[in-house]
Amino acid sequence: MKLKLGSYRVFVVGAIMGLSAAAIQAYFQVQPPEAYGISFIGHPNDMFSWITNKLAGTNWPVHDAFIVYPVLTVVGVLIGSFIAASRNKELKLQAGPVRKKFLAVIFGFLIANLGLLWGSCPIRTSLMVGYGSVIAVIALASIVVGVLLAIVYLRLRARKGVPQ
Amino acid sequence: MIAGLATLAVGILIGYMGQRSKFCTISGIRDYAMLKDSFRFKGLIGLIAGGAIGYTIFWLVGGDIPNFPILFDIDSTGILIAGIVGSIGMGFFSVFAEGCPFRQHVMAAEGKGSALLYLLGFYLGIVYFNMVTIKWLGLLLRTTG
Repeated sequence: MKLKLGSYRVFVVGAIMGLSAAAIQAYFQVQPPEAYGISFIGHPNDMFSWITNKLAGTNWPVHDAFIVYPVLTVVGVLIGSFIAASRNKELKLQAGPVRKKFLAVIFGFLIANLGLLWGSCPIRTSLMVGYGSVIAVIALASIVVGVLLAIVYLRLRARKGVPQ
Repeated sequence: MIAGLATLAVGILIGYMGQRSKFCTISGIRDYAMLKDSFRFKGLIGLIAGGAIGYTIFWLVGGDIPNFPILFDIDSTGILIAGIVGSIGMGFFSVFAEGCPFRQHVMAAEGKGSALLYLLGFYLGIVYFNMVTIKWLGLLLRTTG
């Protein structure tokens, strides 16, 4: 499957993600909460909590839609992107974008905790904006502020000549 | 059961498309703000547009889209504070991690070492949140009402 849509390829991918999330909420019981079709904070948390509850007998909160059977978005994405990467010969072990290994672990740790404070990743936040949520608009604006602060920090470091 | 299978199917679809298109919300905002490069930013716009159109259409044809549109769903100052702090922090650190959580999962499946380590920290973070942070969040919500 080749996506030949020029510079609008990513727009179409985003639109398909939004439509898919709406469809599985409307017709496949992926709710409550609302606009929960895709979330890369909520779904990993629900899946991991579901497994931990089953294996270790804990009582970590899981959203109503996935109490009996686990949410499998994460598994699907890993399978889908693995297939795409292997079909296009992009599958190989390599260092990745973050140079310092321990920093990658710390970033993951911090982002999981900060994301769970809000309860949504940027994708679900955008879906909630499409759902008409005012708090999601505030959250998306806050994400943009966070990105802008990081850019300012990077530029200040670059000006001082500190390697990134 | 049907919800789990639906998320698996959508996951495979968006995982495939995400890998081919390099879709990333955080990189889209970063590239546009830093370089005026709108290539990946269009993904974020498409996501909001696709979601809005999808929810509206399915709501109109009688799909299960409750409380649409949500509008003013702010029922607690504490949730608002946690939301703003969490979102700013997520945006800030995601720039240094080179991608949103979705992109990190895609890169991990491609074999990127730093993304695999990110996911290790990410799932450790989920454990920590459920064991520690959630108690502090509960205290914040009780304090702020």
